[in-house]
Amino acid sequence: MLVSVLINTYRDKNILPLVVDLIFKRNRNEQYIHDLVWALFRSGDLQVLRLIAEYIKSSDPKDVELATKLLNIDEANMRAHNYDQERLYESYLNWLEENQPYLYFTQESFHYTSKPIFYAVNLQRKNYKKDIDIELGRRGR
Amino acid sequence: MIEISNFSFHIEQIINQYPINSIERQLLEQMNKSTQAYNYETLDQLQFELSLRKEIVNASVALNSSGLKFSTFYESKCNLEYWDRTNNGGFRLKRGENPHNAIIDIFKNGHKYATECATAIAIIYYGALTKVFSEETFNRLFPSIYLMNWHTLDPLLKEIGAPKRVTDILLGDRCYFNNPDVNPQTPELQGENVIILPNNLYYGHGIGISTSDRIIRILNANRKEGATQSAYFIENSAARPNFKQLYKFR
Repeated sequence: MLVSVLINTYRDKNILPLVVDLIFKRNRNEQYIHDLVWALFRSGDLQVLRLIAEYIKSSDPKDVELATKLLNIDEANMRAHNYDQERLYESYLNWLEENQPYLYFTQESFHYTSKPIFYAVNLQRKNYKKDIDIELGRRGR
Repeated sequence: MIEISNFSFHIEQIINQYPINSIERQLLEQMNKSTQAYNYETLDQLQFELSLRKEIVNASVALNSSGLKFSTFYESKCNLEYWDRTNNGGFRLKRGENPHNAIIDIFKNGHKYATECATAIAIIYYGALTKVFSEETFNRLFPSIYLMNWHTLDPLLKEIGAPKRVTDILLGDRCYFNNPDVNPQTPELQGENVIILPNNLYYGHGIGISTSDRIIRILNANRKEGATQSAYFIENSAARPNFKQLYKFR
């Protein structure tokens, strides 16, 4: 599978935006996307989350549905933002900014589950960092 | 342990109804020994689950012998007498066709079909349900079947698409072997969806009925150059249909 080889063997990150666009285009046409999604997340590049997040603002409901599914933005979250796409997008970017240093890709895929969680926050690492910051703050550094 | 109406249930009450080494008996013994409490409202509800799990195992064995071929979605095929092949490689039941007969056809004429392992699992569950429900009930519950891995599961079967953490792996469970270092050229071998069979065996479409070691060997033979991670069975994780929900329609 050429995309997979380019991304995962040759580590070609230049094609990531193209692959994201291709996934969303194929999804709109109800074409198979699971292998492309798999290849995309195996890149391990957090850039893909920002690229996917752009589609939160799409005027096509299929794009929004897929973007929120890939980013694990659930119904409760969308309701909390009054389904305002722009607000949801900004909120997601803020979350990403805050958590980026602690994110890891889980290797889950649509092959394994209908509800893959493609990435997660390493809470231990995040909390450890917070503890360090608090300690350093206490020492007046 | 097994509880019925919140009371501890002693399997001796029914275990002799089932032959030694039967699937139902093995399930009862395993559930009985478990630290997990398996709760049921009635004995009939428990026996329905035992029966459906038996049929899931039987359907796995039957599908393995059916002639169903392995393919990626790009090259899938189906019997056009009953199914339309969709754009993305799935099989949608033809309008006006009998859902029960269409599912049975896959087991009878497997050589006319080719698909990947997750879709095969969905076929197994539908096949098992043709045995526990009458044809009329099955057709009423599943009037428009779309076979395409976990992508479009009927709401009554949605749980088989989403593995959860479990205490025990039981016969008839859907589990997964993961292949993290898979060759990028063969994404279809990123893992293997399997049904748990007796005697420490697993059914996975494309590999067949096999031991864990053999499945791992086959997956490991399809890894990228310089691979360091072996394929492995995801422990304590299984997908199961909602037996109690399905029981309501028996």
